[in-house]
Amino acid sequence: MKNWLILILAAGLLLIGAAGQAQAVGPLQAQATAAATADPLGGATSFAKADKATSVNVMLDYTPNTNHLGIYVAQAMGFYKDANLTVAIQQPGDVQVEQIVATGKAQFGVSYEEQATYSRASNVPIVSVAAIIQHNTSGFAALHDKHPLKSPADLVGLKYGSFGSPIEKPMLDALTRCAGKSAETIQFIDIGFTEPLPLMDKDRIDFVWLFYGWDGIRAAQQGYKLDFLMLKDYTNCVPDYYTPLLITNEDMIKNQPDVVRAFVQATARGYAYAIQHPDEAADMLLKAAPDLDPKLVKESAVWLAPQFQAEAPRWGEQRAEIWQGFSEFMVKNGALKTNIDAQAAFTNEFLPGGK
Amino acid sequence: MKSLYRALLPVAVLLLTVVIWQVLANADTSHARVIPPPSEVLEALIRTRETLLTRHIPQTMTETLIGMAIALALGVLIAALLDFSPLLKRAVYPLLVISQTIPIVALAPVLILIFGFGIEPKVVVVVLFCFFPIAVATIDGLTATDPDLVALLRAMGASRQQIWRKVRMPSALPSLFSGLRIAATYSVTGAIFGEYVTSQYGLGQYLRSAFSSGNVAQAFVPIVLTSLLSIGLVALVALAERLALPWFYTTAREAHWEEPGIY
Repeated sequence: MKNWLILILAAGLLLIGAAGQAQAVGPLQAQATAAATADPLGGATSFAKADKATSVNVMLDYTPNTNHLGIYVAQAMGFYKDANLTVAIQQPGDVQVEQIVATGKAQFGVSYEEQATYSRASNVPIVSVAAIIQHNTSGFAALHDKHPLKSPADLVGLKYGSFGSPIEKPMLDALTRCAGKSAETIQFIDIGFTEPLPLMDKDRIDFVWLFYGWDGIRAAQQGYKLDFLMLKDYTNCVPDYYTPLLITNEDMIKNQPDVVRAFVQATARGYAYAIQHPDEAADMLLKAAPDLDPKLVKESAVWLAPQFQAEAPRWGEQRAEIWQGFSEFMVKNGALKTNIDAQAAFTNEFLPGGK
Repeated sequence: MKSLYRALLPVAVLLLTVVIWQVLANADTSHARVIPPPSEVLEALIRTRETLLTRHIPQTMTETLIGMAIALALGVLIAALLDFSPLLKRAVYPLLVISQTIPIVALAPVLILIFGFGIEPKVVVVVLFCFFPIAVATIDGLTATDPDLVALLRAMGASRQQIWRKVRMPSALPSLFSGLRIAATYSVTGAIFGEYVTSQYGLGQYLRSAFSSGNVAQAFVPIVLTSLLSIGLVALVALAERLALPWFYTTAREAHWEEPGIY
């Protein structure tokens, strides 16, 4: 076990070094690859197992994509089996993941800090046990040829394709305020989860909120030239937050902490592998979800690999300031009534390497 | 010759529609084609034919057929019960109507909570969609039983049960099949709605996945397949009706109709 891990680390370091030279990397990627020499598993060499063989459901937030790499890797490479777990990956649908996890029908789920914050504010007993991606990799995007975006000031007066989340308005307000403008003239058009790219092409909407790692890369591959305002570049105006993340319910933490620990650590092993072998991880995702576009999955996995852990001491680590900051931002902008108890909303105790 | 012409006409119309579709879609030269041309849809279908044939279509059809079977049994049972007791009919009929007005999105979490992640929630949605037309049509058929026939049997000393078995039920069969045909039309769509709640495989999951990947051509594949499967099911029901009710389609009766039945 130990030798295998050292070998992986060594191979990983070599790969990262090589990758740093070989690719024409963007600023985000270069910074992250340089910093990601910290062991994603926090130096752990042995991993928790469930006390007895247990079957669990993990419900996804969205159709299988590279945000879920670690889960599919853990499944394919038998990490869950090593942890005495039989994991069923449940597809998303017209149900709220937080609701299903809170009732225990699914023991784990993939959610977002926005959703998790709202759930906790409504006393839905879910807890975040790992941040899948350390920093926000989403941003507002518009077609370069129609509405070039260099700063949030360029968003003024445009049509925004909203997906119906209460966080959109506060975010746009804060962003435009930062650039000395107001978001008043931004027109909100509810498009739900309709494919936004053709809508932008036909001028039904002007800009939309996308995950760069999946939709951004997909747009580029489909020949759309998008300008992105990445939210993590504006952390002086809007809070950085964890999206997506892994959740479980309070009942599991209280009554089956061994299962939670086993699942989180096995999943961490999966993400550690995906960080160091994005191409192979992509293959595992493709094998499990063969209807996906291989070109998209591969390029996305490679882009996302250094983002999973970024500069954090280990994969999945969460900080209270992030939870607090986000909650305060929402309260200040009138999108949330009262602050949530940040400490109760998350925990790092189940990650490999201890608290 | 006449029946051949009759069978070919809808096929010709369908082909014409496909041709017009192809021409119009190709005329849209913008980068973001909202409606993909049939050629691209066919290409996506062929590309993913393996998972379609081995996983998605069998999953959806299993849910559909099991759901239909249960809907048939349930629909007939409800119709029989309501026919038996007019009081029950007055009390329960509005509830039947209400059952059809519940949006699936609202029902979805409840289904998962009760049934979990298996095939059950999808079957339940199919049953929900399909039992209603069967129940209503059968009730109507039972109500429209020829009173002279009932009077005749009663005069011959038949018991209530015998009247039901020999006159009421058989004369309601054509209406039952009518309802079954309607149910068959919606059944596959019902299965897809059920899969939209959450599903590992199936045409609904395939559709959702294609949608999320922005693959418009691929998203049209389940739409086309659903239509074909639904047509196939309706044809099956029509065939079953022909076999089960030969007395309904006697030449004497056909001579009185403008068109002999549906096919």
